[in-house]
Amino acid sequence: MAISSEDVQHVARLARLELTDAEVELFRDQLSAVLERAQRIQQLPLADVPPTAHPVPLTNVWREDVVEPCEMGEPILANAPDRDGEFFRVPRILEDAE
Amino acid sequence: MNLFRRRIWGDRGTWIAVLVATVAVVDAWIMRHNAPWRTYVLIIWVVIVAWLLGYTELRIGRKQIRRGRDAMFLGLAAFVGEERVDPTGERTRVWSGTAAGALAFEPEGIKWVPKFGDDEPGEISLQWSDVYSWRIGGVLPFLGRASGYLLFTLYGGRELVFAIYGVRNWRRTVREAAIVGPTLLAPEAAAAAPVEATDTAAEHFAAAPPPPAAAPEVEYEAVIGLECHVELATESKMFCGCTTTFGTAPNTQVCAVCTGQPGTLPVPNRKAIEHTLRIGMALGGTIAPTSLFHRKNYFYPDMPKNYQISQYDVPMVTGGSLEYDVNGETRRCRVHRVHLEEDTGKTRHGGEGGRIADSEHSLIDYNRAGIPLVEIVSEADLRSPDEAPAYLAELRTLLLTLGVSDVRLEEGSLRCDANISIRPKGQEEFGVKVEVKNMNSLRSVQRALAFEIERQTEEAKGGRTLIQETRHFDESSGRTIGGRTKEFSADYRYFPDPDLVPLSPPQGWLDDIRASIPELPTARRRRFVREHELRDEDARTLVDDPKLADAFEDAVRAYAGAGKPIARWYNEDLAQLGNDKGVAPQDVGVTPAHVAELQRLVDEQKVTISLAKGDVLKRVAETGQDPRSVVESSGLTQIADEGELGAVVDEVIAANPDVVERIRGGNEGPKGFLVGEVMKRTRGKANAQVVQKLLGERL
Repeated sequence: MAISSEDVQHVARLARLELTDAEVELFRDQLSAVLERAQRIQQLPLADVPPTAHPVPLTNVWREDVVEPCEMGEPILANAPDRDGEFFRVPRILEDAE
Repeated sequence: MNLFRRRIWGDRGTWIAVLVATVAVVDAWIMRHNAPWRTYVLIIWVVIVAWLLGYTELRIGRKQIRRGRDAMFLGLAAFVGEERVDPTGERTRVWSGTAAGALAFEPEGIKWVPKFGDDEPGEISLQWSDVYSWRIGGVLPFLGRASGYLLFTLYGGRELVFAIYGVRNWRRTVREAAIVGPTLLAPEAAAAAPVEATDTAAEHFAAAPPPPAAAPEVEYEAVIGLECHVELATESKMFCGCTTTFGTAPNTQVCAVCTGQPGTLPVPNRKAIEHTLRIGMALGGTIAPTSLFHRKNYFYPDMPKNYQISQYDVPMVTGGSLEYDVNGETRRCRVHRVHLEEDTGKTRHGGEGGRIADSEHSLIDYNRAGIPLVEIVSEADLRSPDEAPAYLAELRTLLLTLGVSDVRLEEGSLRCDANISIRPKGQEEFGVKVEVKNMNSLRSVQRALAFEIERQTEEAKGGRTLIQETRHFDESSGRTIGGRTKEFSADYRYFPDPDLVPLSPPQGWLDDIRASIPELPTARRRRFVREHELRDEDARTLVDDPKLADAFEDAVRAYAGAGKPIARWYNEDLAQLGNDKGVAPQDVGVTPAHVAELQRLVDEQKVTISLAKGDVLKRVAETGQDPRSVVESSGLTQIADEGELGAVVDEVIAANPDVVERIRGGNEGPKGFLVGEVMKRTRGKANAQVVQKLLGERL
């Protein structure tokens, strides 16, 4: 199944990626190949196979509700591109021109 | 004022002259009597005069309206109300508080358009007598009205409105009703008066558009669904061990996991999962045998990871329902789904007014990011704005009862968005859905929805097409504002979080949780009504706070008698004390055992009920001492001894020969006065029945 250049551009926009026309073509081919592979799997008799979200046969990995030291604010803030005292500072949040 | 329209008083000049003259007369009279309260009487009288004049001007001389002067005349800065201009250009004036109260006193000619749901009449015409006869029956209309105005000045209106109406719906109607411009003036006046708008207030009244041409009236109904986010009461965050304490310094409760540092792995909090399952079970939903966590990808800096861990196509709970009461009727709203996710950080926008659009930059505090959050999505089963707060209040009580959340609205631990559309009554399919956000209290939810319904109805009636959008509620204007943000694309590119394995709660655990669910609020209320013969509203007050209901039940057990008097202690006396102290009734320092003991002392006639509920209660609350020893040690024991009381009664009879004379003459009225005198002399300790009996014998 081939996808269109518009599809690629749409996905790129969702991921905030700026692609050149050449890149759009490149990824269109690659993504089409991925989808094609998935489509081939779909042709198999899979009615009895539940959708697999995880390859590892594990469930119910959890932790008890216990507080652990989490005083990492300062080192994390120190690594931030910009800060304002105790706050992270980010550029003005622009409206999405979707 | 319609005194003029009725031509009772002639023109305004006469009116002013009459009032000036009365002021002079009143003043002269006060001078002669050399009354010390002269100033007050004058001030009050001038206020009445000014008020009536201001009112007159507003109603009759539209040209003279001045915002400031009205405010002065009426003592009401809010008098001119608040203007709402819809996108259609329709102007609506809304009065609240004092102003609404003052307008409630306006006689005929005002159309009240209540801004509530379908169950309210579309239009209410308030008559003067409807208002004041509740309190001031039988007084001459003029005096009644004048005292009404006066009370409004003195009490600032709002309280008085409550007092006057005393009826829940009336109160609400008066507190927030819209008066469509032209109806403020009587129809003939509105038509006749040339528009000479010289200032804003006048413009408001004059510029309202003409009523739309007659079109077949379509009746619309609202369709409302609510999405509630509830922060779960856990010690640590959803996927890491950071504490969830509220109100600490920004960015002090963050770690590598909740700030999304590379290479970190989230591990779900078992307690949060348990709470979610408990909520699902209490709502009667279906627990998914296996559910998944997904990543919801979006670009907004409130999540450091650029995605929020949430649940998508396989939530932990689907279905269920919640029953709630609204206006005395029991309704049921189905629940669509309940899922578990993580909360986002708090953003603060710099620049003017904290608005995103004006800000140069934003500041972020990630303390909240990662706190377990449950989203409870209802079906679109609600049909009026009144149902929303009722549903939310019931949900809140349920969550409190389950102990899964503190549900503090002011701290944002319960937040709610609403989906609302309208459709012609009888139509099956839904209309265009609008999402309303930013409602911070039960009241704002109701206001926002009421506004939205009105807006959408007007749009529809005007033949305009509604657009699907997200609108934000503005608390100060009571309106919803749309078109500000173009929403992020709904394409969140959900995919299963590869860091988190599926949840498949073992049956044993589910059974344990189910067994641990306490009696639910609805059942508990019904049981209180049945077992303790409480009134519905008393049962509701108790059950709304599960801890209060627990205290009540403990006290009933300790008392081993009827629940009714115990409920009264909690809902009236302890509630009053708690109100003064700003704490819940069960937290005033009076234990359930104390309450049982207090009631027992009353039953045993050890102490009069008024002293028990007054001094004794206060001392118990202050000292934590046992009520019985308080009564005994402070000499508050009731006097029922006929000999002892007889002496006091004799004293009182001797001291009031004139009153006694009147009673003997057949007038039973002043008997209460004598009882009161006996009470005074015994400092409230006399047994009223014995006193009555003794008085009866001696007279």
